[in-house]
Amino acid sequence: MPSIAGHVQSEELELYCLGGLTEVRCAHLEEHLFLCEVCRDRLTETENYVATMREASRQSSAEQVEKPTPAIVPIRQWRESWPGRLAPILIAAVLVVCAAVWFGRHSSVHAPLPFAVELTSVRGAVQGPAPAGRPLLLKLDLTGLSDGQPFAGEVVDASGSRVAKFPIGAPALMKPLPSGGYFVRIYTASGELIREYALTVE
Amino acid sequence: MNVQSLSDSPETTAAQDISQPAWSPLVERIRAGDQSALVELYGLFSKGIRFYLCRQLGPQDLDDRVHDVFLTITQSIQSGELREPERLMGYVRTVVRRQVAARIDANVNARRRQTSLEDGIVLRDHSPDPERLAIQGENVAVALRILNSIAKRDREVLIRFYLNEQPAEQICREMELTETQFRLIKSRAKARFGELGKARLSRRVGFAARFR
Repeated sequence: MPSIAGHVQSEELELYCLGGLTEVRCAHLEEHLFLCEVCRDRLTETENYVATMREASRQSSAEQVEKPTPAIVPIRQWRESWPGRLAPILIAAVLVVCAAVWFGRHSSVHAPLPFAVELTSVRGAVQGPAPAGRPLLLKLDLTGLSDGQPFAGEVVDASGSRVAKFPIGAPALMKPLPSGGYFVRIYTASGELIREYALTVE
Repeated sequence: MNVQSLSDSPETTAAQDISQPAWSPLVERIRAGDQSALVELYGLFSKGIRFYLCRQLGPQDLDDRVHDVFLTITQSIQSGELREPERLMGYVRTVVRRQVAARIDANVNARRRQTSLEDGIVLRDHSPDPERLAIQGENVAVALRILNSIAKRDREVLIRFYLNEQPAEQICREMELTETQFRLIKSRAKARFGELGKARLSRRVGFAARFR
């Protein structure tokens, strides 16, 4: 008895159901279907599937038309505009800053506290060395200077180069200094040097 | 035509040609009046012809129509009208298509004649029976569930293909898809449909078993 080999592809069966095959391909497929029971069963299944998908697609399309989702449309338009595109980046940046602030406040690793340095003008009173790498809080002994006279202060290193400058008044907060010998100088408004303190940083 | 081996997946197998059976010996035997050859021919084609006719014309008078087709074919072979025995398949298809066309023509004429005699036209109800309708409804619900659960882009592909009947080439071009992506979207949906259908069937079997 003559026998056949091979079967029709699913794609071909779908196209046949949808009427999308050319006459030649259609003829070959129908000739095969006359002989092949397996493909006939598959065709029936495919027909049911195509009809079901078509009906479901129709209903789905109708639902989409009935519900144009007006709230979504402006959101989509906004997303496509340049502020909308930048918004996620800005939000991410704000979150990163907030996280950094929170971490800074709640982190167990605290910034070093300023080391208070009392600079006295009394001879013989020896101020110990200030620690290197820590902010310094300079408390100046202005005894003997009449009110309003001292105007500004500066810190210079051993070679006389200015390291920092600060106004006279409240204790001056200095950035951490590297190890070495320094001098803290007090000037009048006219720029006259009226006092100098020695400061050792180790 | 693209075909595949039955053992392989329908979606992945490369195309190959169906090997057409050798028809010449069978045709020669029919021409020679071999009765067993007629039985063989009937056994080979009757189911296929029945399937085709039923799809096109419905189940009414199906046995008679199959018999008519078979008679036409055997008579043509015996009278030598079939000049190329290897084209037997094509000839069978032609005969069946002519039978369908003739039947439709007869129906149209009959309807025309009936119109003049009666007040209205008697139309057959082609809608499925209630059970079939219920099954169809469940299937559509499953398909809708799939359509609503997949990405919008995938849904659009399926709607364009199954509802709008757009060719695959057009869909791929307009939606910037490769042919593989297109086939994948379709086959995924089909596989999901099969899974959900099986799950539904197993639930139904389990439900029925509790009441046995």
